[in-house]
Amino acid sequence: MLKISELAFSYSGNGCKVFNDFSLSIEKGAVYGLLGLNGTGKSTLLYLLTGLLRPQQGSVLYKGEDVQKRLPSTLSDMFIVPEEFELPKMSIKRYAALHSGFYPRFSYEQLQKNLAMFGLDDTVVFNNLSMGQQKKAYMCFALATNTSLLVMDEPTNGLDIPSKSEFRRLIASNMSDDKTIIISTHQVRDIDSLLDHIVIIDGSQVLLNASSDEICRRLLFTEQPISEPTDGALFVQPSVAGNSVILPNEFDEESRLNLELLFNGVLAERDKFIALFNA
Amino acid sequence: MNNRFGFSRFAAVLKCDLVEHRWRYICVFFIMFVALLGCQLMHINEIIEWSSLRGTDSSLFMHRLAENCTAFFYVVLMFALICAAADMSSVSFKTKGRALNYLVMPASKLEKFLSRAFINIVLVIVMAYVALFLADLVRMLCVPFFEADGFYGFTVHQIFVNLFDPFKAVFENGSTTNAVIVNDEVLTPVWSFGMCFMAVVCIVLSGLWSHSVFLLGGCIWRKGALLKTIASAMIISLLVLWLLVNIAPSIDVWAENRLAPWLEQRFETEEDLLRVGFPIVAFLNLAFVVFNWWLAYRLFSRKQMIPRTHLFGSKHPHHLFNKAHS
Repeated sequence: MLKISELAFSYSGNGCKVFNDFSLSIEKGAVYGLLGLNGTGKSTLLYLLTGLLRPQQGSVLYKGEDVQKRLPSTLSDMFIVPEEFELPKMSIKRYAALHSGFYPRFSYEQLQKNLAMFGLDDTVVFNNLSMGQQKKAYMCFALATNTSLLVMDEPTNGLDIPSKSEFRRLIASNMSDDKTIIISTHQVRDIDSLLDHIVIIDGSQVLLNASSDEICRRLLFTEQPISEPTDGALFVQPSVAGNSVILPNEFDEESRLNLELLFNGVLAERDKFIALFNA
Repeated sequence: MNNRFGFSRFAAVLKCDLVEHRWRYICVFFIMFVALLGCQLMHINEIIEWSSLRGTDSSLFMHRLAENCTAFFYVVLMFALICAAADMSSVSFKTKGRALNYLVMPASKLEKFLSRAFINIVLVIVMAYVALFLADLVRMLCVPFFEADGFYGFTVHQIFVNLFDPFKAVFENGSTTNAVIVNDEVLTPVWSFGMCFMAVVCIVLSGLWSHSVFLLGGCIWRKGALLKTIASAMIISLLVLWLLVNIAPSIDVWAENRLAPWLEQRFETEEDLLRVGFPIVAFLNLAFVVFNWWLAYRLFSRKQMIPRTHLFGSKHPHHLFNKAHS
């Protein structure tokens, strides 16, 4: 669905490259979690995926079309919710009336349903809402466009605690097999139950690109008392109860994916994880 | 899906732009209205005074008012067109958020460019005439305060008709200045219709060329494009002037020894020279207009969410000429 090949990109001003010879493939019908440290280019990657920035080398193909061309057929099938955005001074209803025509599968009923989940009304004007509420309204509109690709940058930033669970419910209820959602975030606890696929990047390299099922099949996430030995563990992190440990899942045991632990583990022991998932 | 140009999508982009930035356009309209109304009201007293000095009656008031306001109207219109042209990308690309909204809008680059050009040219012209019409109406409401009945009427009609005056003048001058008078009888040669027409074309094209320079500036810079364009034009003019001053002696020699004899040999009369000169000037102007519009479109369509260069929107200006990236 989305194919990134040999991407190279740098911002002018600082000479260092954000991406260098970076490749990645995104398949349809999954919720992708894009993780990485600050400054590794997560937001930049999202902008490159949606054609908002032009790479110096390489290409980004969406359903076989170069996103750099910014063709209406491509743009009407993708939507980006950035971390910071600027909405015009008008009601949600009016905004939807103006912009819905660009998206062939836009559903007004879905918009109203989505807004109701967050307790919002379509007559309210964007500027009269707080930043968090604006984000909710914008996400509701984004999901109502029913585009095949939805890209979200830090969607849970600025949302209150109940809204974070509403957000998970919203994504789950709007998800279907022909849609792909890419979520870039640092707040992994907010969305870990949503993700079907995890991508951890560090600019020039994809450190991990695997489905949640595959990760749980290969790795065992467990909590151990401090007295218990951690021999053979891929990664150990001290926790309140003792140690949080990632072990190779040799006996097909079931465990719940601990995204924060996995992220720390991949960054600390990258060679071990790369070797394990490339085997 | 038609990815090149669709009228319904063009109209939708236009509608979004107009609705989202309506206060900006209303503000521009209001400024034009106030300026034109102010001009009309200020001229009323002056015309009454002029009339009393000359002893003319009030039937000439409207004609005189329209005459006095014409130049000001064209200054307002020209200034508005220049400002709007320099504003090509600032409305949609001023901030990161605005740029993002505009770039992801599912319309082709051509539709977006044409919608901005339509607003910044056609809409501004229409707004100027509507503002003048409203200024006329408000002035008529104010006439009782001046106790001068002759000011009931519309200047907008006469000013619109006056639009063609400079061209009429070209035809009139063209057909008399070269006339040869023998025994009080006007004989040929006079400028032919074709010559007069080419002169008018040259005037129109030089206006379009000046406008296209500001349009180009508006597509290069996201902020302060008007001042930056004026500054750049001044710097370029100074450089050309400096160059001319430095090479003037050699040009003089060349013109005297080579060009003048060559011209005399080739073109016997001034008309012969102009017959060739006008099309060349017109062609050069047209070439500059087309080039500026083409470059403006290329720069506009290659804009990114975050400006990554200093001048051409790309670290690699050769990309502008690369079709694969269009």
